[in-house]
Amino acid sequence: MKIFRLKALIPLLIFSVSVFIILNFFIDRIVKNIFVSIGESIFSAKVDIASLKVKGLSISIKGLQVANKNVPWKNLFEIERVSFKVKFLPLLSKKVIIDEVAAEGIKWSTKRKTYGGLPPKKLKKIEKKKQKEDKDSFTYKLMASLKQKAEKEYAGLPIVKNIKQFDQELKSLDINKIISQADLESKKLIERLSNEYSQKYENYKNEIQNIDIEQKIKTTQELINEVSNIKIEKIEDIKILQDKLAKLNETKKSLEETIEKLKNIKSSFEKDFVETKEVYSQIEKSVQDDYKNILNHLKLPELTKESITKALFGEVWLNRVNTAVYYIHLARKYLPARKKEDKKTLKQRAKGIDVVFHKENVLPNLWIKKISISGTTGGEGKDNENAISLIGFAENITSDQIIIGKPTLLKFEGKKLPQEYELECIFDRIQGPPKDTIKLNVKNLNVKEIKITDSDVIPSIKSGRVSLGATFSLQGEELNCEMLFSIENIKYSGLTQKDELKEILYEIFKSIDKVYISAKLYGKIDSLSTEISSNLDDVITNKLKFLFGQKIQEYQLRIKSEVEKSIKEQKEKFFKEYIAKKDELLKVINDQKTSLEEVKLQIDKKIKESNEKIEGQKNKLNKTIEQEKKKLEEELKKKLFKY
Amino acid sequence: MLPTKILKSVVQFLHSNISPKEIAFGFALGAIIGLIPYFTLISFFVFFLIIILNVNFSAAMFSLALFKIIGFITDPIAHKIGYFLLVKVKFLENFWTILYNMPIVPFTRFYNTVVLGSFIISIILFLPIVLFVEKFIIFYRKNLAQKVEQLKIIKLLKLTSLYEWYNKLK
Repeated sequence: MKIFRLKALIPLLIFSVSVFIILNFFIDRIVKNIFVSIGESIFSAKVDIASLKVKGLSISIKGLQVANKNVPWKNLFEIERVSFKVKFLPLLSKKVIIDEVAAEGIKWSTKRKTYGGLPPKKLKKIEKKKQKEDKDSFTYKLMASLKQKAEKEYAGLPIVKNIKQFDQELKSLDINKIISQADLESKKLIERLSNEYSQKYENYKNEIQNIDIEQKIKTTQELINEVSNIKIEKIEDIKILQDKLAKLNETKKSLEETIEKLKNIKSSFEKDFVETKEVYSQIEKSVQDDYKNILNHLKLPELTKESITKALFGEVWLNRVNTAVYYIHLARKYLPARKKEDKKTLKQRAKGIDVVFHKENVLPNLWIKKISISGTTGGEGKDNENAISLIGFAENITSDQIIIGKPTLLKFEGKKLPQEYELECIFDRIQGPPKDTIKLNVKNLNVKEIKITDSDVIPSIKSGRVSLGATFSLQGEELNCEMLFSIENIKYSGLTQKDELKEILYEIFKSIDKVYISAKLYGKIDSLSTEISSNLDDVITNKLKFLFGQKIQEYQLRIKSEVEKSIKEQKEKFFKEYIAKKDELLKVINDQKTSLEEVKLQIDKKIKESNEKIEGQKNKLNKTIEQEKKKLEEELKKKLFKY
Repeated sequence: MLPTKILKSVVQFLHSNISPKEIAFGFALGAIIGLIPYFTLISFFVFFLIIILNVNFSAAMFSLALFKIIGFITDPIAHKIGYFLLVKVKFLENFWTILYNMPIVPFTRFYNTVVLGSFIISIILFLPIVLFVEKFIIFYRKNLAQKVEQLKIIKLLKLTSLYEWYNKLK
């Protein structure tokens, strides 16, 4: 039996040469597919490369876009140009060593023209593979724990629930029903007063009628006339006149008593029939009491105090931490840690485990010594007018930091005053447990560049300046994250939809032009603690109390108004009658008194006249007597002297 | 159509005059590639051997496909063997470390537990497969070939070949 298929040698040679030539034509596409495949398996999203050229061991990539798996119409990042050269000799030992990579035009969160999600089948395959590889990974478990915490602690928004519930409870109040069911004391009071005053009116009226002032005046008039008719011609007439005058005096006394009586009646009447305003205030007080009673029995809704900051920003904060942990997870997966004394490291793969055998003084499997980075905060769908140019570098991206003795470092910064941007990442595997830190400092960035909250509680912000200082650190298995965040000079967009809740929220927020938030998250995976606070808690709570206080007041006024409405007719009728009766009685008393006083004056005048008449007559008589006396004396004298 | 083609090629080499040894060695070499889960340097080298050596290519391809399926069952066992050799056996550690840091050798992916374990299994089974297949073919040709030729499915396959040949002529 022939061992070798000699016939196959020549075709094999031809085949090899053909493969070699074809590879030369298609190497670009093959390498491009490899990069795309690796990228998609790492980021679980579409990776697009506009062009890739391989020249020997140099690779030049243009238009690299990696989609965001969570926001498929946006890129996680994109790079305009990447170029690097792989060293040949280490490649023979399956070691990728690159001295320098140039990455120009880095942008992130840019808009995509095509959908960036992977087909479901492919995505499922990648996720399944990842799950298998990551199932024992600490950072994978940490991300799951953070996600759970975000969902558990910040599910629902108490502030909105509170407002909605409050609003619903208020609206469900049927004030008319409440009033109709309430036993209003004011109604009873009006009825009682009405009866009381009617009774009093009758009593006074009868009392006045019993005095029979008219009869007295008539009698007195007659007497006055009698006195007027007396002519004094003789002395006896004076006596008659004097008798009549005495009678007139008695009548005058009687009239004075009657006037006094009337005065007393008036005084008593005035005591009983108080000023209208006093009765009014009596009824008003009763209405107030009714209103208070209704409020006491009615349970108006209350707003409970909640941490508004936690509700608004808690979930976003945890998600931001989760994003940072995701990048740390990638770093820990592809820049693994090991102990210096370890001779081998195990890596879970889709099939089996890869065992990495460590040796001193050899090159690591992967080592990118330096990446020079340039980029911008602008890009498709972003604010290019205010974009900041950024430059930076990444050093020592390697699969084994212990061999090279240096940590992986990334620094990226830029300024366009007043805007500043700085990102620094350190992934240290050299000594002890892995230490990973991501620091981000941003000053005066446009608010539209950063997503503040998932909630639509905060009205849409038109403009504002964001400053942020955040540190995400995972030292071994201990997470320590801090953030100081501020937005200043906030201006809100107007309301686009008519919605009572949104109007309330807009009212609350429109006066807030500065927001300061401080957040922390620390601890181990099974005992994570979060702290989050801001200036919003007090501001919003006070605003809510004020706004809802106003709403409650509105309802209270409505209740009061309905109570008043329910007794309005009765009250008006009562007051109409009350005033009429009071005025009537007062007029009668006054008229009667006036008449009596007039008659009294007449009496006085008549008495004075009569006395003057009597005096006159007396004087006349005295003069006559004197004359007669003188005459008699003369006659006597004459008679005496005759004798 | 692929199952038909596979069946056809199986029937062809079973009913042909090709040396049973050629078929057997081809089959065994195909089994090596079939059992190893990834396309590694080992797979490439074995494939090269299949081409360069005077073994039956169809048998090798059929065996590759068959052992790819069998591999799902043997993978856990292969993993255990690989894990034992790579991780548990301390005296081999230096050997593996040297291999791992040599040129070219890492492309065999020997450091993967399933790859190493599958390779070991395929090497262990190599001779038994050769012997078994050789014996089977001899037995088949002697005792079963004629009976199988009479089966309707074989006639149908032949017809299919004739039809394809007729189409080519047209």
